[in-house]
Amino acid sequence: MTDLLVVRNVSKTFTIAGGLFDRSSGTVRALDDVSFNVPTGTTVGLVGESGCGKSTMGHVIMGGLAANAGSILFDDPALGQVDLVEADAQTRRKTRLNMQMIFQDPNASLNPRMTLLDLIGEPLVINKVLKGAALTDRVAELLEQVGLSTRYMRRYPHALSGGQRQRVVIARALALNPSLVVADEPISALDVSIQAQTLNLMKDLQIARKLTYLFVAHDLGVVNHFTDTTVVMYLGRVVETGRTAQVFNKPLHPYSEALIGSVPRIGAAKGPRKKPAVGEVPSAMNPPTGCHFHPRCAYAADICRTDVPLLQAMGDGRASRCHFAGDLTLVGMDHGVLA
Amino acid sequence: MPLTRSRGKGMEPLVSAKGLVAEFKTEGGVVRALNGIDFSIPPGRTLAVLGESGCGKSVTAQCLLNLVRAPGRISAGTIHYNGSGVPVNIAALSPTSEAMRKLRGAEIAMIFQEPMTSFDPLFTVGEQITEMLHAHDRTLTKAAARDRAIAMLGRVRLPSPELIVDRYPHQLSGGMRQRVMIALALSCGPKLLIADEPTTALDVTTESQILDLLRQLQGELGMSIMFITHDLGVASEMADEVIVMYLGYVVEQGPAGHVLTTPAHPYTQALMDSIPKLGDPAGGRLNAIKGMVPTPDQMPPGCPFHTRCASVITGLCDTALPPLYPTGDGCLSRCHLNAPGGMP
Repeated sequence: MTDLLVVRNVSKTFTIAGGLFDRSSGTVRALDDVSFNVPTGTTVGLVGESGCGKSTMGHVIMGGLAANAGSILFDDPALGQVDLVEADAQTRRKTRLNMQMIFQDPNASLNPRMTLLDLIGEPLVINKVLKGAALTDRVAELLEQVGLSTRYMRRYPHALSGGQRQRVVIARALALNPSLVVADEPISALDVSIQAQTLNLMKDLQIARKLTYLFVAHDLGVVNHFTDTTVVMYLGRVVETGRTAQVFNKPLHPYSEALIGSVPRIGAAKGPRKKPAVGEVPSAMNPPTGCHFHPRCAYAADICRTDVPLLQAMGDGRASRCHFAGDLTLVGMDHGVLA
Repeated sequence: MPLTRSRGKGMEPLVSAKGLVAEFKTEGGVVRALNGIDFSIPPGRTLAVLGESGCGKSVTAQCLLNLVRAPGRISAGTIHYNGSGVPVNIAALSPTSEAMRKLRGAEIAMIFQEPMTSFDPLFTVGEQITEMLHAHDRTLTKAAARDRAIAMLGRVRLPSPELIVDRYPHQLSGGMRQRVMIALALSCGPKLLIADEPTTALDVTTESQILDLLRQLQGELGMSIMFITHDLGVASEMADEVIVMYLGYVVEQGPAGHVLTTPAHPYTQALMDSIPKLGDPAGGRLNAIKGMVPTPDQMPPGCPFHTRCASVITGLCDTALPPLYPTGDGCLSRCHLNAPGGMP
């Protein structure tokens, strides 16, 4: 299988300005040596708690933020393989036709003063792909593909429900026929019964158009259902990657175990959890030494406080950034019904 | 009667609502947000209110605090509250009355989804807790109030509460802020805590810690909890009893262990089916519920769920509103399929 996107050793540092004269008061390593692959036609899930860098990763790929180091190789259908970090502005603009982004809150993504025709047609107009009647036809086709009536074409977003608005966002993202779609928490703002519809739509479109998704999410149930590969991030570092079913069934990093163990389970009796996660995510401005996770880790030893573990291959396409990855027996999903 | 801390059935409920109706006047006419809700919460127990946005779960909480704002009002029904031996009907009190003000905060307290929007950013958390204590007890000295604030911050397991008390809300993490909000809500010793999606804005590991904390505090302090959530997993782990709401109706209710493992109502069933669960085989399509929740001004006739129901019986469900039928084990379901002796 070929990889549409290869992320290699990407780092991104933010400088924090503070104090009276906005002097630099510190730096945050939002991405620290991040590497993973996105195989063509599959879905890769990026998971982790807030502040782990998963959204930053999406923005760096899309070009909204510039990486400080590393390479992002994108297999552009027209240009061939392009390193998005090195590429000049013109090349980047061309690659951007083939990658699109979907955000969490459809209300914030849609200009309330534009009709659906303008909203969905905008990328086609800006890139001078279509105009006039051909544009209207294309927008109608896109509306149908996302399950919206073409009657809505001249309406404004406020006339639609939250789920319908997210369909408009998806239609707009697909207008230019992208090969990669970065979806940043695309269903978190939707009602439970609408989430399933939206996920089904995204799955159908993936099959029909051979789309590749980078799916940024914090809901582990959704990630387990929707993705082929999972990348677990913690404080800017990838701590585990692997096929989704394997990561969830038998995690190889204590942080993955803690995340999976924290998910509230439907049908569980009222009462405390067997293995609660301890503490909170430390500040990214002042991350712990050695392994970032060691202050919260139940298995931490002396080496974890001093030495940064490497992301080591564990066979079967899996990798874990833990000194004891091969030695620990970690618990994944149990057999109960979980949510 | 002193507050009893034992748990169990058959005891006088702390709060019980009967036939609760809340209406909002809009340009298009009167919209009913609650269509005759019944529920009760015994002392020391947790009722989860489950539903999607617009189903009326937050209005239910507002009714308990008598805070339904104009153009809305409680138009029918009773809410009997029996906290201190003198039963009161909250629904009959004036929202601005002295009696209602004494109940709020002291007897019934509430915590919200996003703690940052509930705090005043210009005051330390200690000042905000002592303000609350003073509002209910004018005789309390400054030093005593501060000591109680520190004690409450320790109670919610915040490390070094004597330092936290002088911090501003923005200096705390999301999980710590939610702990401070719980400390604030519990500082006057309420007997009922209304928790409106208290963990929705939190990360999953922090969420599990806050849920554990609420359960521990309930064991220590004996308060009842009304837990409003859309998350079936959270409801499972927190609740003794559950009510499932749809468009202002209770569609199913009963012990959490039954309702959330063997739901009787098609809406509860469909909701459970539509959620990707960790144990499910990955991939494939989800069983989505078709359509969307109608707006309350387009209330369907008959059963409110019939427009989206997979088991709809045309001619029956679209004309007659089913009552809440008992389905065994103390469960009730508002569905014609659950009528005794099979389908009518």
